[in-house]
Amino acid sequence: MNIRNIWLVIRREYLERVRTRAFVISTILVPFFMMLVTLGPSKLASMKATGTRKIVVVTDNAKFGDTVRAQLASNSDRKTTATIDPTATDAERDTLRARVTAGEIDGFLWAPMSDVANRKVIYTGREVGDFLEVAGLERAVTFAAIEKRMDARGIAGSDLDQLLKRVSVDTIRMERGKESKVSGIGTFLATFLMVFALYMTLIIYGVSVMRSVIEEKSSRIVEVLLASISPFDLMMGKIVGVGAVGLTQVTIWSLGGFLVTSPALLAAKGIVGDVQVPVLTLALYPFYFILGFLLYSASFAAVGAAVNSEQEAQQFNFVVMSPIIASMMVMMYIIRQPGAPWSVALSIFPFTAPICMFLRIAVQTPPAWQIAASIASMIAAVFVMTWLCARIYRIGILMYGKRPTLPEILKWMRYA
Amino acid sequence: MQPVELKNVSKQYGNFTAVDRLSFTIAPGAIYGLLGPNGAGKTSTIRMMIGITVPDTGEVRMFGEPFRREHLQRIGYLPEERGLYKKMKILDQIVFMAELHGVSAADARRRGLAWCERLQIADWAMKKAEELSKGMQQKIQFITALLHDPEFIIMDEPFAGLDPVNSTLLKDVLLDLKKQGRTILFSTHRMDQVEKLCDDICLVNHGKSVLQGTMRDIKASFGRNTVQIDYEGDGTFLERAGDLVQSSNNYGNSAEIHLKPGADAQQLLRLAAQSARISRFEIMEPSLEEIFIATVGPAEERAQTAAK
Repeated sequence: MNIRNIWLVIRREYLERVRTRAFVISTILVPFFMMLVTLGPSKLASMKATGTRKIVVVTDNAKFGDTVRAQLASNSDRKTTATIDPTATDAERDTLRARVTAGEIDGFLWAPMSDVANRKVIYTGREVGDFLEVAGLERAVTFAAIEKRMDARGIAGSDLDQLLKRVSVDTIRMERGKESKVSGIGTFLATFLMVFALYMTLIIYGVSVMRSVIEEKSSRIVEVLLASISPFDLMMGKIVGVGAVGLTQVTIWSLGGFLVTSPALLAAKGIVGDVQVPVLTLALYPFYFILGFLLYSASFAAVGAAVNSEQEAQQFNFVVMSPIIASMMVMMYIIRQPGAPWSVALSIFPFTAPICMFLRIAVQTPPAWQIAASIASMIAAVFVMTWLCARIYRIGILMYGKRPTLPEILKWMRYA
Repeated sequence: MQPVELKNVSKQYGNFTAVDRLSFTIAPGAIYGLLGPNGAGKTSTIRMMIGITVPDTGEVRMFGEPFRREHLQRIGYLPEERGLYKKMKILDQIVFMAELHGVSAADARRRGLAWCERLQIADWAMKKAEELSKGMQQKIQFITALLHDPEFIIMDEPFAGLDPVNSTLLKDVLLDLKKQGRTILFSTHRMDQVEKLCDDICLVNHGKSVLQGTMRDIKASFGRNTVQIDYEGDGTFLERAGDLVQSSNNYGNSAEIHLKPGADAQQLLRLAAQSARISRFEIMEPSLEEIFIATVGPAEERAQTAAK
């Protein structure tokens, strides 16, 4: 190991990357894009539709109709005026259909008492895709039906509003004997953002290490480089240099995130409640980030050295990336059952640990030994992988031409 | 102190023997030619000299001691496969490579600019490599191989792809370095290109050394048996001189003739003069290529017969 040479490679990789336009653009655009993807849809969906909706409620019971109308007027997401139509005949139905088609009314609710008794009424309208509106209708009809049933049993239905008041459940997280009030969805969102950043950087910067190896190999620069630096130093310098770029970007994102997007965060707070990420989660994030990156980038470097072009790399890439992708796929399972044996196993297995253990830490406080075990297994894996990959790298980087097969690569590892 | 000493060096890749018990010594201040066809094991040999690969058996000694990575700061290497970082500025690349060889950044910058000046590419120093032509990129690589002022310089196919003007430019630089006492190794399959430059040579074929020694001795031992005649008129004298001529190429106004062993060139001149006007008659040294073919040819045939 020649520290000066490693440092020179780190510096070159870092500066050449940070100076590019691509780095600047991705640093600015990615957080923006993530905000858009995560917050945009929920924000949009929660926006109330504008304009008054005119519907006709067809029912042979005046009291039922009045209750539905009152409920729609007060509870619906969209301002709704309902008129009661007591004639539930087929001819009337056709007339109403014609009025909907003509655009006079937005739709009609076909709710004669016989249908209500069967707990099935039909809304016919031009726009039926908005589930929030349909849910509003359902609430109003259910409310009126319950009132009707209570009347039938001789209970005064006028206090129904009071009787049906919801009881809300708040979540409080215990962490080392201290309680902190966290909203479930808020924690989920914050964790999701952090895990997503971890996942993206692992893949983006892992592939970036691979690209850089392929570039040096395919342009034959490596021949010149190896006349002054050992393959191991070159690989280490590259991994650390590219990793430092990733770390820089994530740091910029998180610092900038607090400053620039605080209005957005406040908006998010309105939707999801208190967003609070526990201290332990924040403190362990860099560990999982750095260890995860070291673990994967060594494998990516080996892939880069073994192939001649990025096209050839794809097949190997999938093998390398599959544990990361698998971790993302079991994300929901781990969030819901962080203590289950599978979750524990995946969070200690080094290749899935970065994402899986981090998820567990975010939703519970796993036993200290499990956190220690996951970090220890990752450190061990980093050493083993770096050693193995350095061997593949050393041989592969001077092999041009045919793409090696897996058995050939395994043979390289045994070369002295 | 010999800059390079190879003792019985072998390198095997799987079942393929790239270098087979190769030994040679390069004298300080000499220009040494490592010559042979493609795939003869030249690049494999060089890689072992600079520690990219380790010999299976045998020993590589550099500057009088067993090879150590520290020696690399005293060696300049221009590989056969050329490459630069496409997106990196030329001067930055030069400085980076020099720093890897232990030169300080400031020194590297100063020397890099001076070299660019000398090789007439100073205008391009601030450009990115992808904007440069192939020939210019090759000059940049040439600079990166020399910037740390190495004592021993390895040039693998240095003139491949260069126009005559630039070839001469680089040749002059290398001859200058020789005058300053540097040792230079040329590795090439284009023997004609380095014929006049080399003091000593080693001809390799199939990883084995087939001929070694000083250029003068080797040429002398092969004798002067090639004659070049430029003539006007009747060319039939070649047929009449059947006792003298081993083989010949007649181009109409000019003929290249290989004499039979022991044949007298003056006799051929007299015969030719009887029927044609002679404007040039020259007894030539055999070219390295001819020497190579003469050395390897019979061996090759023997190998083939043995295989049968």
